[in-house]
Amino acid sequence: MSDFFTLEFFVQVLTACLGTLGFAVLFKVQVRHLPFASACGILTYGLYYTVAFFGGSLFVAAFVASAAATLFSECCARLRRAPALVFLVPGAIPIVPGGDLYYTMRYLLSGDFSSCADYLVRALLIGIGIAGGIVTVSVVASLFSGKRKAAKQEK
Amino acid sequence: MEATEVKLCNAYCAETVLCLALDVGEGMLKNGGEVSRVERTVERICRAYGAVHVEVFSIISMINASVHMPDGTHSAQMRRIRSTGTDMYRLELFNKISRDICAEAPSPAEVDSRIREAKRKNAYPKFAAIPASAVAAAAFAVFFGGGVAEALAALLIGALLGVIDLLAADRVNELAKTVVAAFVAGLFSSVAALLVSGADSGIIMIGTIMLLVPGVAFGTALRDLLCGDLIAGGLKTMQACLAALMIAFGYLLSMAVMGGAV
Repeated sequence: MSDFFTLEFFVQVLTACLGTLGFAVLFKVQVRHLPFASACGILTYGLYYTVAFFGGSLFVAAFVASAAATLFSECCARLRRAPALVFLVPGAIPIVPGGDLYYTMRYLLSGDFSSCADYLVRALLIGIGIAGGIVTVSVVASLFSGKRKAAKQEK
Repeated sequence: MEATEVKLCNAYCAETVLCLALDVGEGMLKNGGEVSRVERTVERICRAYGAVHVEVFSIISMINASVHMPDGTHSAQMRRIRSTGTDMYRLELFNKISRDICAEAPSPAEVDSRIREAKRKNAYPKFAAIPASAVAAAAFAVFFGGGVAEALAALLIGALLGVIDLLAADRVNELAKTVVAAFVAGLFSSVAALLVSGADSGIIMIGTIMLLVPGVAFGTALRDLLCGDLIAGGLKTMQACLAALMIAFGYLLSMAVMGGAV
């Protein structure tokens, strides 16, 4: 358990937050939504790390993290009356497999094709995990909001 | 509510209503809204103005819609969308316009002026993209295990990519821009690693490459696919895969120039 809260983890959470913030500005998220977008980034990476730490595979970690990010974004969207994408798009950035994609290219270049394939599969697994998490939660959320709207119209 | 609806049916012709709905839909699509949201929005706006029958079909580069009004008039229009980006502020504004239309059905002239206004509004000044991408690149360089040297190098290269992004905005093909950005990132990462002994060019590259990787785009593309928007989702998936390929191409080019000094 003592290995869980390493200095590296804290640095990563901090930089994930900062990176998310940078991306949020790049994606023109309004200033008043910025704290929520960064919180989404922290949540995403925190969960990804936690699941991976307790032995979850990359796919499961990405799935859980992006599902939580989507849930958080849908909640923020309802509370703050903005599209969920405003929080989700910057918030999912910390688990984007940029590193894996880099190593894929690097090993492709050096001719080490088995390592290249390894990293490509890792990147794809994480990508599919992210998509799966988003899909699962947003389908449920759309059912939920559909019901509420229908109830409103009946009034 | 019903009384106003009856009044509206007679007040607006099919052409005006559909044109307005498409303006809002176009605004959403151009600024990064999902295809399903756009289709839903166009349909809701038409219905708010009293349409009895609405059909909408949208992919990332086009919206096609037809509307029938209760008095028998009908209209079919198409919009071609040539460039899309991510501007959450404008997306939010168009979302708000759509919500207000559905709630109170304001006059088309008023909505039109709000649409024009939303198209011009910016959440941040243009050059804010430079510090933002610099900070993001530096943060991810540290995130992936870099130290001070790597962070500083990524900060500078990130700023450079921000400048490229500003210069290329709306002028250059998106994929060509990705190649150039990846090339510049690869080139300067290697140069930085040569100048500062002990700096890892890989870490610098990963930090800056995060600005280009279509990770979230890939996620939302698969989401569209799995939610049944097969064509839009397929196109987006293709776009994301192409972008990843272009990053690899730009990076490999830069390594060829640097003589494989990885």
